[in-house]
Amino acid sequence: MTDRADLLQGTLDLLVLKSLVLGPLHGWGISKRIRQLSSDVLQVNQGSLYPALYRLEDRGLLRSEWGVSPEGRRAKFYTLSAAGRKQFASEQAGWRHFAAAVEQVLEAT
Amino acid sequence: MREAFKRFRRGVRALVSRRALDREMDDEMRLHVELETEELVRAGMPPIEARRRARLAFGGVERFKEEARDGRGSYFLDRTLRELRLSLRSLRRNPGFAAVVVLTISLAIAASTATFALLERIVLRPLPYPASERIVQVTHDGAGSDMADMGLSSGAYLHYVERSGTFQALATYQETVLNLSSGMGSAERIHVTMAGPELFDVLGIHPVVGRAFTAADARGSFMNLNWTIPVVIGHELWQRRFGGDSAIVGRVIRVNDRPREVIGVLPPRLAFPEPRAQLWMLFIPEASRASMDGPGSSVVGRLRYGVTPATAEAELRALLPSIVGRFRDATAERLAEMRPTPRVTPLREIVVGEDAPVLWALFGGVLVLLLVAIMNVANLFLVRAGQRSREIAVRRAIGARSADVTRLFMTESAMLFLAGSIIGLMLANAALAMLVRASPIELPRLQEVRLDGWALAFAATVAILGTLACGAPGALRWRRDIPMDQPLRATGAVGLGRRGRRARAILVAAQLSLTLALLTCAGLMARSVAHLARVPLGFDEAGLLTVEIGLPYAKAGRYQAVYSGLLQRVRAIPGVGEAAMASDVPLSGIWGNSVPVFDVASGEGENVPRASLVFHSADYLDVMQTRVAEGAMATPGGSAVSHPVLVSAALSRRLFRGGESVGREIRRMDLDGELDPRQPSYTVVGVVEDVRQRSLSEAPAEVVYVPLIDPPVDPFIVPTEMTVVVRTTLAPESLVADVRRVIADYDASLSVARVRSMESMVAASSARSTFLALLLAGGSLTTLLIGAIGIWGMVGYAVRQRIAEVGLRLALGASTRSVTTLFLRDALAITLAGAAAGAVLSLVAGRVLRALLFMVSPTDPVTLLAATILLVVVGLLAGYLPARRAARVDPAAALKVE
Repeated sequence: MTDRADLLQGTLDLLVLKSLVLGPLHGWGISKRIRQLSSDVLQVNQGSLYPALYRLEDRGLLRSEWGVSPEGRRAKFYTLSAAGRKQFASEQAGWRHFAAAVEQVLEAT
Repeated sequence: MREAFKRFRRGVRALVSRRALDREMDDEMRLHVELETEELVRAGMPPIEARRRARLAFGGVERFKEEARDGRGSYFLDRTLRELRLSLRSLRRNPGFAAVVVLTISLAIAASTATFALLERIVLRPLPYPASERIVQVTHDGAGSDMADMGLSSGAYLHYVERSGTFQALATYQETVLNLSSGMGSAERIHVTMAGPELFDVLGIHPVVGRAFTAADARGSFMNLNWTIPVVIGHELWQRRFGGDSAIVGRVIRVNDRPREVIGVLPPRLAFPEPRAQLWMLFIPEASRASMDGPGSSVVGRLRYGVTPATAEAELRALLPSIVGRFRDATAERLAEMRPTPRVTPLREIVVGEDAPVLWALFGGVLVLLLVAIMNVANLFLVRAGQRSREIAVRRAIGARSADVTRLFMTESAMLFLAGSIIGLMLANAALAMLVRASPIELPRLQEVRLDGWALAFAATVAILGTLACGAPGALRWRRDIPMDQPLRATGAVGLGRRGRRARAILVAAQLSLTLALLTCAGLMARSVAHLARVPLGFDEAGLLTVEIGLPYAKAGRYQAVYSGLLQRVRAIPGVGEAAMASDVPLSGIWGNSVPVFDVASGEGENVPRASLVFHSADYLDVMQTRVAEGAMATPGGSAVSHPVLVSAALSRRLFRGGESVGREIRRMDLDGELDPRQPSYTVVGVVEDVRQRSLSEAPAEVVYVPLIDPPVDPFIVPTEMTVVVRTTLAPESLVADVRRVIADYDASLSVARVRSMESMVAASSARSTFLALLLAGGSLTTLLIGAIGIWGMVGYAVRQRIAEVGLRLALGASTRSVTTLFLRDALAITLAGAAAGAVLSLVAGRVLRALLFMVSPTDPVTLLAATILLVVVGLLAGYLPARRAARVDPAAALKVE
């Protein structure tokens, strides 16, 4: 894996966790919420969304459950676990720290 | 660790229920596409276009499923399975390689694991006693005493017990065989240990029922006739004769017709000093009758915590001089004459004894073999890696990472090692089972040998290290990014450097030298066994059954009548031709009392030889088919002379030095070499041909044959332990039940010990040699095979390296023969170098074996020559096969390769 992939992956994880803080969503709902919240700037590549979901579930940060969507369809809903909330908090802090640092560097010129 | 386990379990579950998970994934992703489509339609896009866009945004569903699986953790196992399939397919295309590798690995693993199991079980495993490393045997090496192997004299024992501070406890013990007539079944002869009261404290054994001997027992006196001497019995005896009765404690049983009180039962499978011991009778060395010299007993001790055997030995050495004056015979002169030296030896060394170095040497040899075998295999892998350069280059070109290539080689190596290990373990198991069955009883703890957890762990370690060693060269070769155009264009063989080739040649030669030494040893042992089989026994063992019986002391006065009555009954059994008895039959392992015997005419003299007294019924020699070489057999009442005896030819030669034997008078002394004036002299009436009495390899025994006639020839000895010999035309074993029944019916107080065919006794007598011969034969042939594979691989490698050159030579008109010779020359050079070094090694190894050889010189030239010829022939054959293949190559094809 290259460094770039790692960075992207980390960012995606953070976005997924954030989108679930407000409540359970299914896969498509997650991608839609990220799009909405970023005002269509961030387009989640669906192909990497599902691997990320499975990976996060595997790490115990998410739980999944089959249920019925608001559209009346059978769908798999993802919920944040307690560990997921904790992880989100720390990743959010890390990201803010990182973004502030980058900002500071850019301001310096 | 736990995390890894959880991941693994999840992976397995993901793999097992992959179908279900895949379906879920399908559903989920389909939903995604549908919802996306609906959204686009809502935004005003035509449905068909919307669906296309949604699909496009999602990308190839299959590809993402694969990546999603990666996220699930099943990926690793999934991929491993795929690689296994890949390796299998690739190996199937190259069955020769796979077969040779698996064969080599399985042989090496079989040999090393079996030897390891022997070593671990026999030598390394501690004795089954708590803190057994502190248990030692105490003996005296006495240069000036005949009691050298007799342990400690009673005086020395008491002296040490009183003065020594390094021992927690010291206990005497002596082995004997006594009659047991209590419990179920008829009387039986059992192995008894006369045990000092501290014996179980020293060993740290606690009875499962009842108690061990105590200090109160030790205060008992054998002079007190009302005292019932306590005994402890073995678990097996308790179950067998007393039905595991828990009320056994306190019960009085009869041992040699005297009452003995059972106070305890030992745990299962514990016995001391030999596994055959079944009863431990209290025996207290008495201070009033103790002496410094004279008969002693074996002594074991438990060292205090932290004391080494050397420290204890030094202490005893310092204590010894103060024994002077403590006992009747403890004079300074006698001590100086005997020059006893205390020895303190760990008990395990005594038990394992001389077999430990042999097993260690064997294990060392096997490790070398293992190393060489793995190097052979690693070389084969390297050759294969070279051949696969195109394949690897293609893999790299289409995106395989270097980790993928490493995994490819490792998977292949692991698979072959796994297959080889499984076959090897099965072989080892079979070999061990055979060894245990064919074993001589002397090898200690052999019956306990099996493939246990340790042996499996050993095999697993070997397999893992082997996998890494064999997978690594290929993996390392392809780790760095190689210029891909080069291997893609040609099969540019990847080879060992000059130094690598040289090292390999030396390795193969070294292995061949080891092989020759092993072959020679196996040959020497095999010839010894053959000689043993041809030794003139002095009797005919076919169709003979031997039955050991014991007469209770109460009936000792009527022994003649009891014995002749018994023989009559036995003769009446259908199928029994003749029956006779003797106090000591050949190869029984029981050594009758040997007493000093001298020729009356020449007087006592200096060196009085010791001869065994064999008491026998009238027709004993007839039944054994032992010839009377001179004179005639003494018949009951038919003898004109008083006290007639026969002597063995060996004794006749010793006593009369070739002179006339018949009519000479001889006298015997008692056990201690004292001459009893009341003892009548014997008259020699015949000379008996020599018989292998003690073992096949020992010189014929010097024997005085004393007939059981009335009046008795020797009034002072009552033979109470006899062996009935039965000659039959049937299989001897088929009579066992009948004979036992007849004896029990005749007189239930007669105890019966071992019932064996004489043929099995002859076989047992050469069992140790046979065992070693088998072991060496198996080891040497395995080594030979692995050596042959080594040469085969080496020449095969050279052929592959030089295939273009061969093509050129053939194209220029070289003959098939000259090409074959070209490669064979290397094989021959290495084989001869190995043989030369091996010859030297053989001479050394032969010396080690010397004590075990019979009628074969350790430097026997015939054996060495035969082994060398075998080695050279096999070596050349192994080189010839690939060399011939080289010579048959199509020159055009070979040239095109470059």
